[in-house]
Amino acid sequence: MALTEHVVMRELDIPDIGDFGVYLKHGGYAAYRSALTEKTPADVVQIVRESGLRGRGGAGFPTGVKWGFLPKGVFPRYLLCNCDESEPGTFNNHQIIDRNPHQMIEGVAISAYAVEAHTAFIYARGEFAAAAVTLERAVSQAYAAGFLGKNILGSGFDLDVVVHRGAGAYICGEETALMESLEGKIGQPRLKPPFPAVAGLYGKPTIINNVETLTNVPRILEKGVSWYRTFGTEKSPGTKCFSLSGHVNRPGNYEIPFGLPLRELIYSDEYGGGMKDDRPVKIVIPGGASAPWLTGAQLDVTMDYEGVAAAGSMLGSGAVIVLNDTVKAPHLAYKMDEFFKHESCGKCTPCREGTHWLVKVLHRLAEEGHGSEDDIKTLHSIYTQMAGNCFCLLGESAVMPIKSALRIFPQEFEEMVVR
Amino acid sequence: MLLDTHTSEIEAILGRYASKRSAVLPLLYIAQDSYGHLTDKAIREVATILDMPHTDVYEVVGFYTLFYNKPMGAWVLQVCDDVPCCYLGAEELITALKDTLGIVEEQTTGDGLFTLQRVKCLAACNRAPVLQANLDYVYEVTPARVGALLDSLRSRVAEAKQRGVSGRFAEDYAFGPDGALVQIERPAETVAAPAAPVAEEVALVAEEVALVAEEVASVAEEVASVAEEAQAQAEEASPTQLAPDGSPAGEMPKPETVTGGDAIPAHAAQQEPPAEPSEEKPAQAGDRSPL
Repeated sequence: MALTEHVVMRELDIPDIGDFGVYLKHGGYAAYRSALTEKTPADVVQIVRESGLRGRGGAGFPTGVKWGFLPKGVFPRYLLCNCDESEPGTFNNHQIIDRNPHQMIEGVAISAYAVEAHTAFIYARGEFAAAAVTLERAVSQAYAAGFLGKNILGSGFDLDVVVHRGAGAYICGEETALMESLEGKIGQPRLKPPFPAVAGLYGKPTIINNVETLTNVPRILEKGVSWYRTFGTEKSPGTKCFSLSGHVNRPGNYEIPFGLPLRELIYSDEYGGGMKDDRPVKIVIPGGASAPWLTGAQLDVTMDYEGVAAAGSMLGSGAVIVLNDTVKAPHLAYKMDEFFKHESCGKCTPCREGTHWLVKVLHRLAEEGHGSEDDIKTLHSIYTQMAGNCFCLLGESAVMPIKSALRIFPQEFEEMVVR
Repeated sequence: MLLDTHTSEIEAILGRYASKRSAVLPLLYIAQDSYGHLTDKAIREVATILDMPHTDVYEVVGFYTLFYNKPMGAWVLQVCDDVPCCYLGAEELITALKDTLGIVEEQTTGDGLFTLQRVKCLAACNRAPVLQANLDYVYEVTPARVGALLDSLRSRVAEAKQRGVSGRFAEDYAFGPDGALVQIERPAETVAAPAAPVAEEVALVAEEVALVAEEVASVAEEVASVAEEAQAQAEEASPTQLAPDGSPAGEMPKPETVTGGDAIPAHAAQQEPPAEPSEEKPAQAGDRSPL
């Protein structure tokens, strides 16, 4: 059943919620005000920890726990909002900014208070140009109303929020690459440890959270932990904005409590509305480009972190790409790895060379149509050498499409071989 | 020089960061819009402003896909060819654009109006096929809509309503029921009053902001009356509708008389609005103290 009240995508309940006045009228910034005037930062961290909110950017790490990693007494600290949404199939951050920007900014502000940061950066991908204009405007409105700046609401808390636009690089969604980019360098990831909570932006303790994660925070404070936990499952509380795309009749963002069966997400008239031309589901990528593939035989998977993991994949960013039987597995693997090759930052050899050769061989097989028997062995060899050896998760992610394709649809590769 | 033409915008940007170098991306965007693309001169200018080795700025320009170190068309068309767009009409769209424009990927049309590129996921998969024109999103671009799209883009160049390639003042578009390209409304632009009484000093700040806004408004009016393209700018920069940086909301190159060959409209520095309201941003930068 569709939600009657949304946690994040509240534009579905209140169409003009993006308008500052409308947002205020519906209790906007009240949770922030109450946090600043009635709660300590530690109180806010505790509430978020109890809510069980998990990071929506892909890893699903508990947000309150992450906030607790900051070393005590080390300042300044920074809060970063990761809005570098660039992975094929993900588009919910885009909608949040376009339609509900103030709840996102309130989430940034509350979270900055919780982690005692006086500067927060919203790092938006370079292509979110109009969205960055919207954010800038919303931030200016928050300044003008006294929600940002010095001694906010007389509480003594100071906060500056800066909207920073990237310039076209998926890798900048990797947290340490984002920090490098924000420091004015090329977006190549850093070695961890030290983790950002200890030494992040400008070498200072830094918390970095995804847009959707932070947009949950005002509602958790406003309505309480028990209300929030009425949504979702024990281990995955709350709702998730699934970005549903591909060969479904109604692609779009759907905010649903964790735990909905995949079949329902695809076929319910409230969500995907079934498959285009009633063709069968062949492949589902349930959590963005880096998630191992599911097939049409696995539609009973429940859409929560533990359910998707049990099926051998991952919920990731909640980008659900549903493809029908017209799609050839080698071609899909080719397109996906072409993405990773394009976005590889070039820092480490397994990723830079691995994605390059994967794409080269896959192109010969899937696009040119003159693959040889050795190509299949070569593909196995390449991803095996990449797995576990890449500097960051981008290279590791590039293994997933080709590994899935070869595991689930080996015969389709055999068919591509010219004998 | 950028520091002369964009004084307030650059100062405001520099005021946001603890380290000057952090401003390299926003400054490169300004430079790119001013010079049309990132020429050696532009790159060295940015390096000088930021006290960075110019080789470091070259490295940044080379790394990020939205920086161009060669001339581009007045409109850079970037079509997503990634999954899932590639299974939902992106290839057909690219073919239609190539056929209509008579170019292939990475080429610019002879009249200098369009450059065509394939790009990776644009985070709008629910509205495939999708492209960006100078980073303005255009959703659901079926091959049948290519004609209407290109006509609209051409007329925006003719009317001097086309913006720089960096997307600093981008807007998003979709096709209306009649097939015409329409701008998608953004959340309201007016600064609403606080809903409830706030602490005194906050009210003072708000007053200051209002005062500054008035000043900006009057400057904007002057600009409008001085500038030749007063009409177009006044529409975009009416007192209540300032761009986030306080400049008139449209930084519009003058109409280009585009000739054949490989001529590319240059978004030269003198095509910037003749004067920028300089009061608002420093005030705001003051509020947002350097880190």
